[in-house]
Amino acid sequence: MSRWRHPLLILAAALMLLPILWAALVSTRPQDAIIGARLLTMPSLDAIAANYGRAVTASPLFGFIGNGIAVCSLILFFQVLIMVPAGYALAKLRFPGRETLWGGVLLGLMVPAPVLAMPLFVMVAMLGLMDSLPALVLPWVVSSLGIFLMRQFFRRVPDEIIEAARLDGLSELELLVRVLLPLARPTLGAFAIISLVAHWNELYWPSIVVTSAERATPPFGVMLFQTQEAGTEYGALMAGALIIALPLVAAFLLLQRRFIEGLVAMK
Amino acid sequence: MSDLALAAPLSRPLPKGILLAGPAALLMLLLQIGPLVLVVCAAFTDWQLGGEAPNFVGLDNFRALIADHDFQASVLVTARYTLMVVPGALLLGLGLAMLLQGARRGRTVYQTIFFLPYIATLAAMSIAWQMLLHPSFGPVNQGLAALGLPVANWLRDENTALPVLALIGIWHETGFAMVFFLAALTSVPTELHDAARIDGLGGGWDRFWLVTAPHIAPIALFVLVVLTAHAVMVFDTVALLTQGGPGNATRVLLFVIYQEGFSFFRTNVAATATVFFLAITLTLGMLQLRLGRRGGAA
Amino acid sequence: MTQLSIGQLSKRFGAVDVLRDISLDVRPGEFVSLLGPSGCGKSTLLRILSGLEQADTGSIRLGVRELTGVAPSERDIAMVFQNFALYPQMTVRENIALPLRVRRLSRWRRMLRLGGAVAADIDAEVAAMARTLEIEPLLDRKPAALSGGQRQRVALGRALIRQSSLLLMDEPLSSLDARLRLQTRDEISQIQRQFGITTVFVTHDQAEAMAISDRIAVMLGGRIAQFAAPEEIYRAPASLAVAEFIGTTRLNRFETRVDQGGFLRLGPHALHRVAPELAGQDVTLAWRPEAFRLSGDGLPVLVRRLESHGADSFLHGECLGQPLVARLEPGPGLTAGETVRLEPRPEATLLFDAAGQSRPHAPAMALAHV
Repeated sequence: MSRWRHPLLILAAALMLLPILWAALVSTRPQDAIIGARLLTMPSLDAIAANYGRAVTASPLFGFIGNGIAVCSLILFFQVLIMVPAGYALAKLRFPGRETLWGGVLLGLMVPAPVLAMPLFVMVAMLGLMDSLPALVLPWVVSSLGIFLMRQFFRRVPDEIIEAARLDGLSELELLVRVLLPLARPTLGAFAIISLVAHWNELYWPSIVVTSAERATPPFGVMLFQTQEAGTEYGALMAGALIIALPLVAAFLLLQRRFIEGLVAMK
Repeated sequence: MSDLALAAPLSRPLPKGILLAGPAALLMLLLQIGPLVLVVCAAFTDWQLGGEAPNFVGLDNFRALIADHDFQASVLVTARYTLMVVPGALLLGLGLAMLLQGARRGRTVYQTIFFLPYIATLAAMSIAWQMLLHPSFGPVNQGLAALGLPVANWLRDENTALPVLALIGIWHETGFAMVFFLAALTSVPTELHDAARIDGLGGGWDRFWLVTAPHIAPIALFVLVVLTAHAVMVFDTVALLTQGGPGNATRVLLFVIYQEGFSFFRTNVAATATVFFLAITLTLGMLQLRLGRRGGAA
Repeated sequence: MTQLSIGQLSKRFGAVDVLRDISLDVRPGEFVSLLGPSGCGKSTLLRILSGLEQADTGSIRLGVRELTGVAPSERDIAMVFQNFALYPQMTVRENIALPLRVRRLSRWRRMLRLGGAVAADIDAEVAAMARTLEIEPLLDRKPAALSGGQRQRVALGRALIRQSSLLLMDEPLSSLDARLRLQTRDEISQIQRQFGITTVFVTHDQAEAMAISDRIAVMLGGRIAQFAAPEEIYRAPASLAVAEFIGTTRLNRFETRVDQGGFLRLGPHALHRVAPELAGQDVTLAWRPEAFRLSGDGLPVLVRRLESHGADSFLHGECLGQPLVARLEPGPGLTAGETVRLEPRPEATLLFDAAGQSRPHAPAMALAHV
């Protein structure tokens, strides 16, 4: 087994990277070389400039990425704003309806987003919010997973810390912001990664509520780009796909340990 | 504790818990529970978005859906897709994790590469796959032709379209499965391996069944459930690469719901299919929560 | 009962010499402890004996058999691990039976659970072992349902059932709580004697090693610093390092020099004459706290603090500008601030040369006033 380990791992790595590498290869070749399947030639700077130039002009690629950043950061901001106090209350405070709320959180964990898409679409349409930033953000501002993770985290914080802070005269809000939030940083980091990956890559919901290129998020932008006339300019298409995938991949490469730990923490 | 309760001001209008958890509760009611009730209710009416006031029709929608051949076909397609992706990603993920577990060098690099497909936007990567599989100048067909093997129009052929989507699904999910297996393998006590060697189980296979398999079984079950949930919800590759075709060969459940609900606006049909879909995902979700908790997260 | 001979064993991990030239002869049926601080190489030595690790050089002989290069399962050894290493999915019965099943049944018969007469024999042996260890009521439980002490017994059962020639134990008591540790220690000792199996036991706990062993090999920095019976190691440590490692409280050390006449001096006090070859050399004198008694013509000690431990009391004081700890029988009230005279018992006086090696001195060494 040990003799075959690295050859097998290298083969697997090559297969895993193949689509990405091939896309990169195609994005550096002129159209006639691609169609003529003459790709194992030298890449030309002209072709690279042409393909990537075409990709960013044929459709508002940077607009898609900007939308993606706006949508993801707004969702994350509201999610954290809501889940931290809720998780704390569920873990450490007694109040009427606590068990019901916890039941709701567990139910929310089990219901996948696509199930809610239909009624949410009806609500968005009725409110006249189609093709708007709120339509992309609002439905996801409360995260059951986030509340769940925060509650589990706060339950492990010893009561003594909270009692000491109260004796020191901190208000509940100060306690949360000044004492507990710094402790929760790893959990928040893990959640942020889960949330960013999920919402950056989300195609289903945007394809329901977005109708214009101005509002398109990156995956929906890919879909638009593909169906445009530039969709047959393969070099440009691949360049566009790579540009779309790049921000998250770059973040992953920078923080890869935290990404993987964060996603495992989802368990 | 009682001292503290006395020290805290008693006469607040609302318990602090309600103030802190209130926004979450309200939004959950509005954005999750409400819609859930709405979609279940819609499944028992003849409501069409933009149409007339809905009438209660009992189980008519469910009867119609179950009798509908297209729907039956889509359930079957989803099941076939799931049965290809889940075992594929599970076994490959386990295999890679085991290879990586024993590797001294390059572990981080390999792990990063294997996990990359799970992070890279699947919609964008679908386009890259389309290029690989292009019937005339994709490298797959070029390679097969060079070897004198038959080529295919992979995404336009009824026989190959779904397996190809499943292959992309496996490519996407393997790294995800691997990460969990790697964590589980790393947590197997080395003492147990040593004990097995002294007890006479030197060979890799014997030791795998005696030491490793029992230890990773709970994780494997968890990964199985999560992968199944992912596979049942496949949408991106279908929407980008086949649009459910050719014929109905890749018309998976979520794509049916998408078409019925958001292209044809047959709200009641989409709602009924959603309830059916909900039943599956809720079952998986409950299993996931159970297994995840047992795995030590909660 | 089999003899174990280790000859000139060495092991390096990268640039670190983990074991240096280890030689050790364990008599048949003897209980030997490898005692040392963490990182001294004791666990590595045990793993090399088990075959889980390979030595770079040297030989291991068990009886007449050379073990170097022999697979762990073929060495005729058994091992008890720190955390017991019981297979969690198996019952106690299956855990104990496993080494026998692996040896006596083919893989296919094991998998298909076809044992026949062989399996019946195995069952009988497991039952007998369970009787000996008094774990019969536990046989159908899984390890998770056992207490620490019970797991320990099961681990012993699995190790002993093969009737190996050598039993290796890697800190088997360290995962038990304090009370259980004492009890289990006695049980291990009793069972070992009952089976008469040659045993090598790794521990970092000197009280444990003292209580249980026939002989102790003190390991320091990858070498065997001393190999002797427990009381000898305590009474006559081979080196300053061993003396400092063994013993529950701090050693009272005094650096001094032997004068040209071969007399040992401590401040203004001259002690007995020592071996002539030490004349003019730096030496270290050491006494354990229990080496002192109150006496009219001892060393002057300023009492700083007294600490009663019930049966005896500890005096923390100062002697010749150095801190000194003495264990005394509780007697007529000493008070902090007074100066007392403490006389070290001659036979409890330890003398080490500049290299830290123990040097013999005249047994009747006594203080003399100048």
